[in-house]
Amino acid sequence: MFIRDITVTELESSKVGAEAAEQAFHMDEQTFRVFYENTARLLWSYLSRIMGSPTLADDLMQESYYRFLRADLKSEEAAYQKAYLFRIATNLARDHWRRRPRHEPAEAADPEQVPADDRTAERVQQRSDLGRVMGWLKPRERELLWLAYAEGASHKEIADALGLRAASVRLLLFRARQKALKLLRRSRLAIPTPAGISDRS
Amino acid sequence: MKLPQCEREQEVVDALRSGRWASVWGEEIRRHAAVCAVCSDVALAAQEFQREAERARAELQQPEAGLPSPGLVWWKAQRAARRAAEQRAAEPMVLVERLAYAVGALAALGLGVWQWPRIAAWLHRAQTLASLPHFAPLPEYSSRGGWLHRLAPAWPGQIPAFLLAASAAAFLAFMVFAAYVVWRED
Repeated sequence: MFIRDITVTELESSKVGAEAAEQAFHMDEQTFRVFYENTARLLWSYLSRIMGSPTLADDLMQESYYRFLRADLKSEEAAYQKAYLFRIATNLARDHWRRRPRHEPAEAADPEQVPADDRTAERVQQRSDLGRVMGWLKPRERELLWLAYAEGASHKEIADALGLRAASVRLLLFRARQKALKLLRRSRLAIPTPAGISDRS
Repeated sequence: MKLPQCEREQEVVDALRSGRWASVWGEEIRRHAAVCAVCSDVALAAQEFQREAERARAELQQPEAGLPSPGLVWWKAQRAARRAAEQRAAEPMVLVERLAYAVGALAALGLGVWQWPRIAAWLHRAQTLASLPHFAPLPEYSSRGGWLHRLAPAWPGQIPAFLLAASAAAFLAFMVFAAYVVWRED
């Protein structure tokens, strides 16, 4: 009898909990669909490039949207919501890097340190020049460069998305850009110069 | 160190992203970038990254790739939220259950100490029986239970009172906690 009472109570509390969970989302399904259509491709591209793995990007993307839906947002402005989503994704990516076991090989810190086994060589071959260089950059440098140059985000938007001070973004971005271009040149990768620009290396 | 910067950096990025860079309307910004070291670097970096972004978008167009539908993401998020709510709802239950196990184990241990003379006598009878030829020998109890023998007669009058008080206190604490949990659930 006692066990039966507990089970019924648990079931009732679960039902209440589930209803509460649905109410806990700050947007309805229709609004979410629109938001998702506007942000999913950008978020997936960002995650797949900073993580260097499409599979990880899939996992983190789902978790990012879940946390976004449960977040207590201060504004309904689209730009704010997008920055908030990217911030969640960035934090999840950082958590992933922190949790990564020490024995798991990290990305090589330098082009000359790239391991030469066949599988790695094949994988590296399949990646684009910039894809390889991204692997040699630090996570924060990847985040900054992607948001600035692939997404075209302003310094303030980058600061919002990465949880940095807007004043720091300019310096960090400058250093990251110099490093990325240096790595591209150092690994003797051809950088096609945009029309009207001479490569100053 | 003064940071090399140019006010038109963002304009260069925007021109490349919008396609204005390659058009006739982009001639002026191209001419600027040709003479500005900062904007020249920005243009090179932006072009590389935008090409990479296009590659990423192309990956999503492949049949084996593709993004999950918004409906699926919404459903999974709802399921995760439900699971989290269930876990939260069950947390006090689990706590009370663990507390009940601990109180039960403590009571059993107390009972064992309190009633040790009787248990010892019973074991002694069992050993006497075992010494009969029809029974297999039992392990020697006194070597294992010796400390209990010593403990039990040490407080002949105090143990029952102490145990009663401890049990009553534990039971009272448990009931208060259970009442709090029920009140919180309501």
